[in-house]
Amino acid sequence: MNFWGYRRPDKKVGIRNHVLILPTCACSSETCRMVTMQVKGSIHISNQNGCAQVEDDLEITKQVLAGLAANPNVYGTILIGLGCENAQPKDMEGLILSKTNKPLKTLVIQEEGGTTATIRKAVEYAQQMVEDASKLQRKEFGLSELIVGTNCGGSDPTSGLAANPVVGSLSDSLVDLGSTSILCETTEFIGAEHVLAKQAATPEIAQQIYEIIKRYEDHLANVGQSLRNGNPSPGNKAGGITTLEEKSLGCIHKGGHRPIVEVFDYAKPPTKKGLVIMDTPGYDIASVTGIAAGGAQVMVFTTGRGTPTGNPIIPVIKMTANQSTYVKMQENIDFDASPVIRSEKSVDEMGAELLQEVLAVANGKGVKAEILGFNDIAISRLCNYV
Amino acid sequence: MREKINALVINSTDSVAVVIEPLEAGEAATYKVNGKEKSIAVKEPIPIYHKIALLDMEKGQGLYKYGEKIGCALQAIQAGQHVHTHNLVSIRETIKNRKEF
Repeated sequence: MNFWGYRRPDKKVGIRNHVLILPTCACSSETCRMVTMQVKGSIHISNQNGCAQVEDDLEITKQVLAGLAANPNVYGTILIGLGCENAQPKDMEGLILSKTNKPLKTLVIQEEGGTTATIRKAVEYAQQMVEDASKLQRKEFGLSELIVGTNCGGSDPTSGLAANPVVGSLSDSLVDLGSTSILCETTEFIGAEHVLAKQAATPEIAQQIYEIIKRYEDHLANVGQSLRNGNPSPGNKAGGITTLEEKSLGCIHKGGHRPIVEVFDYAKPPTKKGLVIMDTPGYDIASVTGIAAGGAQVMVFTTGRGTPTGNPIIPVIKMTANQSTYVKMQENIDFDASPVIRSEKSVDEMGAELLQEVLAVANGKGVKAEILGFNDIAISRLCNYV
Repeated sequence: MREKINALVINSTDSVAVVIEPLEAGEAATYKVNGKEKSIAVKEPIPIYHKIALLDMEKGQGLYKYGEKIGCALQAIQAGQHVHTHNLVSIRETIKNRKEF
């Protein structure tokens, strides 16, 4: 089984061909947006961070920004900094170049002499990059080049009953075909960690699963907060999910049944093929951003209540097994898994259909969130701004 | 006559089922366990996708879904009653207190 993608100079394979206008910090974020308004084929991210952050928080931001530039769906990047920020443009440039040798240009607003002067140059660079990118043709690659993230948001009981098991079946197929499936959302392992630990390939990996949960709980305890406040959310409860362990037991079905071969930090790339875990928050937008920064080319996202979310870098395929949600939010949701609830199709039959959908999207089919123009970005954080 | 399946049980050890259509008091919740069809009388309205108790449970007793414990009963629960935040509470403590860690 193969897919059609774009080979990058760093040997990775993308399924989209974006030119990314990347702000180092919040102060250059609007300038990046204005550049994309003038160059069709370019995208930007909205960056709330990059300055006034403690060291560990700044490191997370820098890894995410550089990771997004290195994502194989990106042809090349124009990095725009302000000049005085913590995420210094020169440092960011170096970090990006340490991850990829794709085209990169850097502009600094304070050196260029303001917004308009920066935009003028950035537009010229972006026009050239979009033209160069447009000359690339898709080629056929094996699924070992594909990294798929899985996520769930706005869950209800249909997520754990059907949508997440269908994603689990997809995940098993991907792993068997040599691909990589990333399970994430650490806060939604809580109460189900013992099930995941049994799935770990080694005792060390089982221990790492417990460690990332403890780290999360300790972190929240340090600031006097509890995970129980806000999880399950009001929408989860209205849908019929009562406790956190019930929510988690439904969530972890996304991982399927193959051994977990690696556990790694937020926004880092996996180094192994197979089923892996990235330590991300349960907050969907931040977790999808982390997965994109880790180099996944596509995300499969289950929902029960319905969500419109989409990421600028990677297509987010949204699915639900709640028929009424699918009907109500069809313009936002790509895949209907409700036949499983009605026992019309088995989880594995639906999983095989979902694999075909993932391949179609990899080959270029636009997902609903891309067509609507969604651009959601959130970068995970440790503490308040300084 | 075969009744329509209107509730799903995930694991044969579960103490709750998920109803896949809204059910009213007096109706039957019909589900399959290990391929065998079973039915219980619904005691109170259950909204779609919410949980119904499959057996009588005492206060403090563990409730199971997915074959795993999802919390314990805040009060005595009768088979056929709605199970949600009013009668089911989370029991997961922080991980430091767990024996596996």
